[in-house]
Amino acid sequence: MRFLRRGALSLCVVLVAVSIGCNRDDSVRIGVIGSGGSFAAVQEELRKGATLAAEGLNRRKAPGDSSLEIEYRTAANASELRTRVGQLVRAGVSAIVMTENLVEAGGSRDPAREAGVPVLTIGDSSRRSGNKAGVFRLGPGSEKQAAALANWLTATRGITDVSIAAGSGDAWSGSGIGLMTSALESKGTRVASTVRLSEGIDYLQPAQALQAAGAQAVIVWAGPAESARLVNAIRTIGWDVQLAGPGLLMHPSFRSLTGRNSDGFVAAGPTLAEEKWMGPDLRDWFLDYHDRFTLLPIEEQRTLVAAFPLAAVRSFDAVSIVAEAVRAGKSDDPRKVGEALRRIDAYEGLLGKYDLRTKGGAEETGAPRVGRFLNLAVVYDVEAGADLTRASAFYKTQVSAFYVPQRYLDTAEGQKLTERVLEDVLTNPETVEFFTQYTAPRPPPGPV
Amino acid sequence: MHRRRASAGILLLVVLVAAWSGVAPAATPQPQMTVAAHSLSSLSTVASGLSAAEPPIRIGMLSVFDFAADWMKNGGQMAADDINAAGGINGRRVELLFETDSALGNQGVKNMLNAGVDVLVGPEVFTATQQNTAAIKQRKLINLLPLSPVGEIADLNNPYVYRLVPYDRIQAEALVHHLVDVKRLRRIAVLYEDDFLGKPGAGLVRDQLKFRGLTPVKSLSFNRGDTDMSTQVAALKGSKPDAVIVWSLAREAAHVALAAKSLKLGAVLAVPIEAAVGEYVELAGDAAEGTISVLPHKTINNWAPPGSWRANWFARYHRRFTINAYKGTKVPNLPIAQAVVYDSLMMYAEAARRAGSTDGDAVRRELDKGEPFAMVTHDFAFSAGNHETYSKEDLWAFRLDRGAATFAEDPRADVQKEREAWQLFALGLLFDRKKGVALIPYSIGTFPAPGPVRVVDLRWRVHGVQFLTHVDAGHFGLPPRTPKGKYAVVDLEVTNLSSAARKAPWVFAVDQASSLYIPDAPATAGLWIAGGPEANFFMFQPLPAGATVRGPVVFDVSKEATELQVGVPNDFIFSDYAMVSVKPA
Repeated sequence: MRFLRRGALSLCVVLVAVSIGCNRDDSVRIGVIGSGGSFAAVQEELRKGATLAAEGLNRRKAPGDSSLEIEYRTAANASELRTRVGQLVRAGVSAIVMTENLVEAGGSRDPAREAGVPVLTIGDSSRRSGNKAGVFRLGPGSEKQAAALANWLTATRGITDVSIAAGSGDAWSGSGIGLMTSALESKGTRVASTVRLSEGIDYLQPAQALQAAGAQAVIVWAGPAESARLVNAIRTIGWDVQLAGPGLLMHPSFRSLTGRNSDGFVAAGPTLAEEKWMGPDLRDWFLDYHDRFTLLPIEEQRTLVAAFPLAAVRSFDAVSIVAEAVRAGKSDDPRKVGEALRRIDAYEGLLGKYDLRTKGGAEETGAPRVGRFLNLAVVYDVEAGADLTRASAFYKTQVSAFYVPQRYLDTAEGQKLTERVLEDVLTNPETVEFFTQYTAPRPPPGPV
Repeated sequence: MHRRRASAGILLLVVLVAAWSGVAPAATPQPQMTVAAHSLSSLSTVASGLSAAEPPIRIGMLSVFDFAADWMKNGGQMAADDINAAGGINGRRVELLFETDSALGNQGVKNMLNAGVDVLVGPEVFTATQQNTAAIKQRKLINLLPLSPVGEIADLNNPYVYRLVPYDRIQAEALVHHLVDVKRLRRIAVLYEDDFLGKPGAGLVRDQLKFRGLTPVKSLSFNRGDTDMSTQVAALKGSKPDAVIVWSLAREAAHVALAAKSLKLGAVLAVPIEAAVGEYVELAGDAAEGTISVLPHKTINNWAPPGSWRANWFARYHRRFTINAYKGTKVPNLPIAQAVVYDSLMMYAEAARRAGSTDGDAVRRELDKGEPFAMVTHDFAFSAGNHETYSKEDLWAFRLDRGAATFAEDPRADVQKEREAWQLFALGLLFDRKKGVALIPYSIGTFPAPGPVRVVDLRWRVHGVQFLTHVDAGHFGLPPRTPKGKYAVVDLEVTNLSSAARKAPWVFAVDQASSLYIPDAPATAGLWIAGGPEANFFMFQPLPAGATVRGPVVFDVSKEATELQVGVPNDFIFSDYAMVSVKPA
């Protein structure tokens, strides 16, 4: 496993360096905050990815060297966030890993910024992020995602009228309307209507309101659970409209809650090539993740498509990057760690190459990829000039679980999965959809 | 994903002593015969073309318990019909005389002797045989025991008595060996039914423990017909046993299992085969899970593969009498006891044909020659010195899992292979999903490739087969799929002749060594991936009315496989199926 070899090498240097430069105690501490609201679905993934990184590094440390500790906190809302960040700063963490909406919520009184503690965001990032503010985004920012969606809807699908539905909860959801409106209008696309969803109501009402506005597409900018409710409502009323949303909806819980209603939903996700998805580094990582935390197919659905915890991978990368910065800065002092982070120009993580020198923050190279869901799989065939042979192969690889190594199948969960599928095949063959044929997107204009 | 190599296939367990599994016996044995000798009922059928002048060969079918009587009736009728349809025995038709003697069979044997039967099948209680052994010997009456597990034939010193099932001593040996020598359990308790079956069984267990320097940590009993075993189980729990060997009939053993679960006994339950099947599974439900017993290691792979006459015997039985699934499971309650009864008659018929006579000495000489009689449950081969069918080495340990047996428990097992066999059996291969009952497929024959085969509204042909060392998806640097043995890629074409759309059906294959394989889904998917956007996953491809599709199906077959029989059932779950024999070009 290449990344583990790299990790092991990194660790040795990190911990030797820190044993020289450490000024508090024997541990290097990294804070991790799992947030509520739209990002609640990834909360646990954040912790697990960070834990896996720390455990891997600690396993390989030399005797006497410092170990890595994860200080994990959760925050249900913005005010809790400020409290948690303050707690972590006081606990002496070298850096904090969290989701972007907490950065937004930090506002002018950001304890991390005041103390010079660098923050790495694993999810979407807003325009307020940036390395100069000590905030390093590790994925395509919300602005970029909005721009990618607007461009795809307009240029690729020829859609001229778009409605926007934003989630009810946090600042991140609310920002969706502004970000998408701005991105769409820059392309000359009309915003037919905007809806701010409201928890607790019947989502058929906003679905019907959106339909009445006559848009050709609906942007759903909310957390997975809330988005799923709206998508299910839209499909329930029989509205065959193009649906699209941010990369957060790549989270498997969205497909778990929508099932085949997710077919044709387009999301602007991470810049992750198919070779990377299916490559040995990630495959090995997912096996390690499974051994530690269990990795299953998307829940509540008859599918072999795995519930890949991409947020956990990002969190793993974030912790690994901080460790690399500690090594480079020869200190776990947060300000020195921050300085070292700003110098990282080509860290090879699981999800891509990270360049933290960029003005807007750290990003893996390339623009967000726009993909659709088909039979619960992610398919990259909706962009102009897409290679359908490659796209269909990617689809089939996911739905047939061709990539799953025997090592997984030999685990208890793998055996259960085998038995579940076999039972389904034996007793409900007419409804087996695991191996449903690939179908190319419908030609534009209109929904895929 | 379903497994690459289903080499094991269905566990068509030849559960040789399933006989005892079902219904509770009568509460109190009757002191009198229920049927007098002169009023024995004849249920035989007479095949046309048999000589009316020759007197029929009269086969006595004697049982003690009601459930055994049912097995005798079904298995015996099926055999008699088959024998008569094939011209009888030496031109004489056979006639069955049934009797049930609930007073443990002693008088029943006498009645049969008085009735002048030519051969006696049963009873299941060995004391009846023991008490009448002199008369049987004097009459030179062939006496076949398909349902009697107690005692040893050798002790009778009677050359006319043969047993067709494992007996209790070798079961006790095999069980204790597995628990103590293999699983390294030391604290063994014994709980037995206080009757002709349980007492000697418990004694044999104690002997086996003693041989290993052990004594039971507790030894308790119950009466036949008891349903509340909580007192005994609570007492056993106090002795902290690692395992409890329960020697009884199925119903009582099930009540022990229920009490053990209720009282959280926390010990392995082990039982002889007569207690582990049939009603045990139905009554005990989840409490039966994990129970250990022993059986001859016979599965569809090494014994009754699809297309074989043995597999078809079960299909024929199902069509005539209906085989149900155990309540709450997808596991068929296979008529093994009936099959052994059937075998008794068929083996006798074959021996009498070979001898050209029904004379007891002539028939036993044929039976004792050691030349196998290939029957449903076994290739029976006896010698003058051994009239037992099985030895201890023939018995493998198995464990009940979701109502089905898995031989993965035995240290001699290929665990993966046995697990796959169990999966197919437990998960519904022999289950009619529409009717909720068991369904045993029937093979209509094996045909040469590449000619078309039609089964009801499905026409199919095998264009060829090729063996591959791996399957490469050809994308994203994915590692190729490699087989445990080698991949057999079958080029299959299917036409839907019905007026309704359907999906392309399930496919299976059997190699020349009788190993059964189901498709290797990941390897088949590899070809699907490599085939480009238009390629379909063959088995699940929608098939409109009148449409024809063609595609590859991959099996992970053994390295030694040289030719395959490919089967395509009309329905996804087999109703009828044909097979095609194919070799690689």
